Amino acid sequence: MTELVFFTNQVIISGLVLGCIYALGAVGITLIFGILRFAHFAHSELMTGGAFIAFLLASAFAAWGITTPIPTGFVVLPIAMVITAILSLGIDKGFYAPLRKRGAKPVTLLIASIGVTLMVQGLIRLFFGAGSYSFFETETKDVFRIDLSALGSTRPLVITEPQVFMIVVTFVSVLALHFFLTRSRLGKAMRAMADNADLAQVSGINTALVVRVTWIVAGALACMAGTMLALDVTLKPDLAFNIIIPIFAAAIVGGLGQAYGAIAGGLLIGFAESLAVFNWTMVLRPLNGVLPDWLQLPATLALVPTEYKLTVAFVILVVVLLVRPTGIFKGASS
Amino acid sequence: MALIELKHVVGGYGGAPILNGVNIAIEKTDIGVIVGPNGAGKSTTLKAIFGLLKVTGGTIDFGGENIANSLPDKLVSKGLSFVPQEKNVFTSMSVEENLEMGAFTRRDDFRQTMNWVYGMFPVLAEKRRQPAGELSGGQRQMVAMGRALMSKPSLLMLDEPSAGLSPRYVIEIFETIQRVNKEGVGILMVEQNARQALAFASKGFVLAGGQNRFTGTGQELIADPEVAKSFLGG
Amino acid sequence: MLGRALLAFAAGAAIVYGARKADRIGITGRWKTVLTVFAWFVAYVLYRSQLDPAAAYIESAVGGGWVGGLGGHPVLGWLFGGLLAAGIAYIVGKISLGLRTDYLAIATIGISEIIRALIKNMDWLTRGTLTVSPIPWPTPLPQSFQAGGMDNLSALVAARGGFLVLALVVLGIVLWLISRAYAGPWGRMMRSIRDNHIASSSMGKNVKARQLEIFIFGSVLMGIGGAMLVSFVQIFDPSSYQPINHTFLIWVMVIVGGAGNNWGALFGAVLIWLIWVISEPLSKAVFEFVSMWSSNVGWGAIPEIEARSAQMRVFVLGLVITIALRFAPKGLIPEVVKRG
Repeated sequence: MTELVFFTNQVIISGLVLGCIYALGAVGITLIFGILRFAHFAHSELMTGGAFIAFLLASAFAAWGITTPIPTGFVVLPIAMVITAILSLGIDKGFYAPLRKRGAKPVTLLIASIGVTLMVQGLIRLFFGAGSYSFFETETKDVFRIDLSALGSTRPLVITEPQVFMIVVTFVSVLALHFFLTRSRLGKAMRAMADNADLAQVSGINTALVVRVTWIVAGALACMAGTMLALDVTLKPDLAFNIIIPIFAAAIVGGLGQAYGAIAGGLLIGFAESLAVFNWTMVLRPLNGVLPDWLQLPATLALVPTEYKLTVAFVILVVVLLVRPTGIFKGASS
Repeated sequence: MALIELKHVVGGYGGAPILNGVNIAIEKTDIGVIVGPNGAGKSTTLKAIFGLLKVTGGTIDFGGENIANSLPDKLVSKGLSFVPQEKNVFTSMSVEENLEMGAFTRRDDFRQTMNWVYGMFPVLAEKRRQPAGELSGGQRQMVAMGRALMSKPSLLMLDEPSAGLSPRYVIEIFETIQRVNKEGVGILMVEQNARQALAFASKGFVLAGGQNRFTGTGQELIADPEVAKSFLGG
Repeated sequence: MLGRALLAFAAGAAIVYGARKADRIGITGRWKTVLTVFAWFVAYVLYRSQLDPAAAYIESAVGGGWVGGLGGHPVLGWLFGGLLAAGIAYIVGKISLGLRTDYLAIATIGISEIIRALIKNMDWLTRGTLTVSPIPWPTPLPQSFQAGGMDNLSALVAARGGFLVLALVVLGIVLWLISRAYAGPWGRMMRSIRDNHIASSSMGKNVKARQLEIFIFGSVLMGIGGAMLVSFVQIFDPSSYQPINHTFLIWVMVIVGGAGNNWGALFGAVLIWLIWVISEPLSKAVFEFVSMWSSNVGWGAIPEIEARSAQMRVFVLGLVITIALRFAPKGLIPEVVKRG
């Protein structure tokens, strides 16, 4: 039982938390790809920028002496999401829309988005330096230790308060996104434009409006993902830049343009990373009693060493691109 | 007054003009058919009306104003609908969602229009939850027409509605087009099956080199020996 | 021990190859896929089981700390760097050149991150964060000039001048070669493939092989460049090679200078390098000015000006990319297309 709880702590909870972040980021990337047909590299900076906006708001709340029963980061999240959405609309208008108007190739837009990445990255470092910040300087990060000794486990189930909120918030947002895409007029128009942009235009769908809605949704979700990641670990300028390739991997695994695929891809990559670095000896240790001496398990028995955790996502990305570039859910191939 | 009237329309994709003075006039009761050899500018004419390419000369009067170079979403709200030749359904969306997208410009209740469309294409009512990509070619054409009718247009433009269909479906689609016309929707279509389409056309236009070559009723054009010889394959 | 790891690698490769050919003995479809995945797994475990002790041995004091150190001349090392890059480029190109442009960009960034992670963490091969230093210079070091009786400054200038001359010679040779190639039949063929690969392949050119060829060639140049950089700074620190400072910087040079034009690329390289170097002191001056003004007004000075102005470089780089793409999409010196 102890082993099972250890597995839950190390793989299920950590994989789920990571998967939620990847999924929220990947949904935005996949929506932008579906509607605007380019790989938006600067998505990481929307995440980091959103996290810093949330951090500023949370600090302001703390300075005004407003205390909240749940972590302040989650309270200010809706405001930060609105600001990030406006910010992403501005970035689109300033940097991508002129290129689209000229009919630039997708790869030109990709490079432009790398330019935006560098600019935002530079601005964030300009104002906040290269150091890291914590949302929990003025409040405590509650850690729940659920005692499972009744079930015969010597270890408790460990989960932090932000992690619980994170999983709940992700679940609710994914559900909301699902209803938006399948029930609302604009959501359906987004799917229509992702399916066939020319026909959407011919049908009388206001494509400029759909583009704006896409940026609003993608920006808000990116802010959510970035803030929650910063709440789980610490906030630093390269917070999301380091995980943008795993997020792309999630979007590509799910099939670019497929919102549900991106969510599944995000969870898949999250679990794959956690599983790959999991130390199997901890679970298999009871076997040592049965196994002969020459086959005793080593102290660490992981698929890959911990320092290669992020590399797992890159390898998955490359393999998927080679074997099935349309993704496991068959995304937009054009 | 004509429902739509093109006068000396000149236009193209930016380079040399493809249309060099096209004249077309359609009444609300008309079925207009544009025929002509490849590269004559038939589909280009429809696209020029629908604002999908640049009109550099002439006028397009629709509902009493010049609509040349208007954006498609404005034209749809004005009562113009267009069914492209290829990729004319949202393959990943259900039949019903396809129809809803046709009604995007309408903010009123469009359930009645949807029932009207389902009445015209009963097979679509049966498959309303199925993704349009899973339907047969003929059924897709119906979805495409149904989608275009959802905005309650006064003029429906079709680009080669019979392309790629089996002969049985060609007859069915042509019959449907005549039925739609009887419901009070003007039709302007481009057709490769020229003889078959001209047979029920009240107005026929033979284009060649981006210009009108012959204009008349469908029957007149079929009967004209010169048209028959040069454009209808003898 | 490294030999045994190599043996294990070969055995693993054989297992995977065998699994791929399993259809010969009647295993096809889904089972073949399962078998192939399983073979990859076995091969990987086998390789890891042999590599780990070898790596531990090399890293320990007995193993000497690193591999290599043949004592050859650094210029030979540069050439070897080019060769190594060619090998890596062959593998990367084989894997990813069939992909669409934007997938290709993501795939190559992904692969480069994998390679970077490997280099950073394969301590037995690269010493990882321990870094390799000092790396010998191909030209006399400042110390040897000092030994000859020069003062510090002129020794530094002389030594760096020597390196610069050598670097310029390499650059000159490369430029001479590629300008000749550009105008020659090989360059004409390459340009025709770039402009219209469908037409070229219908003329009987093997487009894929040519694309791989040019990819490898470009990588060789980059490999030599990297090797020269490493010997110039005299320290090999894998973790200091960030995509922001290297990959993207070079992209900007090409975009701003003019893609498809060798002189444009050269001009872009010099220009962007100037911007990269100047933007730091320039922004420092701006900050100091603003800081002086703000403290005069009573808002207080800007803290940590030094660290902040270092970050301005990244911002300026991003700004230059976006401006160049918008206003000079063909670069400052666009390729001249001769007609007729």
